[in-house]
Amino acid sequence: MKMKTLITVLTMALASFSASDSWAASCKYQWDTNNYRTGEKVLWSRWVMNKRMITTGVYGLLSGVLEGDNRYLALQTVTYNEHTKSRPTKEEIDSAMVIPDNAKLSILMADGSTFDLFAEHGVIGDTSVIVNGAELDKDFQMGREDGYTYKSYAVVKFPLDDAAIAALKGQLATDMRLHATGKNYDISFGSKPSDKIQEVLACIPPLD
Amino acid sequence: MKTLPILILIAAALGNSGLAYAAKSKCEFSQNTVDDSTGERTIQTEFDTVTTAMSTGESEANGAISVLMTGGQKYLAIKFDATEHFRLPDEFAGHEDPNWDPAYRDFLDDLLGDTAIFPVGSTARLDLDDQTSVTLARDEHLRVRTHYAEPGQSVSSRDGKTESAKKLVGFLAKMASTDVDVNSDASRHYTVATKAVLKYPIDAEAEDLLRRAVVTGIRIEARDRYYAMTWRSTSRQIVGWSDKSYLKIRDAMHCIDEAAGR
Repeated sequence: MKMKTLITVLTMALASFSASDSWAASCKYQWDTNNYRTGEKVLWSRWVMNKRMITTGVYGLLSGVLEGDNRYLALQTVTYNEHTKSRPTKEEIDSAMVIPDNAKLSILMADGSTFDLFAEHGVIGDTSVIVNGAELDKDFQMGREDGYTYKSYAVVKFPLDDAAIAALKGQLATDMRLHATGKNYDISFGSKPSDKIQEVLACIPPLD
Repeated sequence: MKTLPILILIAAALGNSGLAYAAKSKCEFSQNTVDDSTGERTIQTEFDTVTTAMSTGESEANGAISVLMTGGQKYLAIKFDATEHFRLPDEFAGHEDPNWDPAYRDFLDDLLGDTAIFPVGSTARLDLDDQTSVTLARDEHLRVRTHYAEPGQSVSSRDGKTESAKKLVGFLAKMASTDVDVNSDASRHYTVATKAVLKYPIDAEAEDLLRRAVVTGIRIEARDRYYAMTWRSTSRQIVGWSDKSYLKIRDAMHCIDEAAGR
């Protein structure tokens, strides 16, 4: 009888020990500080990267963020996918990656449905200009055409509420599309549905 | 005897930790003068390097900072040394000696003229570790002299950098990719070196933040481009803002206060 009870307890314990719990135990943080102006707690989980996308030239990295009482999914995009023959002007640099206020991040879930998040604030990405063959950057030296390549970088935060967190934790994701001004950035998790969103969401501590 | 390697390991570990950086016990100043006619005092701390020694060449800048106070106004001074690459336009690529072509001279004039103008209102954005930033804006116009090297040459040979510095850059280029013949590709590009000392007035909010915040990088705006001293978490950059550089800004502020008798 005692043995049966023990097995039951162990089974229940194992069932309640979800994958997200195991991640939470091993969470590491990129930034763990306070906002210098407001004093609010600022916690960003370590960036988790999607599959490297040579074809689209877009890298996507995810972080689970807590700022005060606000929770976010943060997406860092790094792109190498513009080429010009002449060196870009400053206006071209400033417009290379523009993510507007309320920009949409569409997440394609494993069941074929789409879940949308909307950016809190717009971002103008930082863009630098690379000349093929003359720079020491590994990523772009992949047989790109001769000329200039834009390397753009932006971090966008998408607010999360309880419903959004529950929905995103509920199933795996396959692809994401960030809707920016003039272009979209497609970020794939690879050939199989991925749990990377759950991984970073598990690192957002519960609200008090 | 066995303890020696352990001590070395501990010392190396400390070198990468916050424990390795100690606040300056002695402040050093490049200027500490009083204007005879106005009685205005000018104090400036010595420049302190804030970036690692290596550069990707991707409009990255190696830099140093100092704090200047004159007439009661504090400034953040940034000294940087950036190298950029420009592709030889196709129209001149086939010329044996394009120097005879007026359009080619125009190209060179544009190349040099555009690179280093810092107008009033151009900014230095200091990124903070709370993922916000503080922006300083210039209150004066500045054009600085640039140096360039034609394809096949290097700026370092023109402006007196050492051979070892050139070899280091060449070595790093080869490290970055074994597939690309860097020397061959580089021979098609102009290299422009820009050295500038820029000063930005510090307002009360920025002063407060610079005393407390962890600065993770600086992005400098020029009229036609940006220069970055940063360390991005994409782990794709080998140049960067040194982890403890924010402490150098705090030190410089502290030294100015001390010299000003506060």
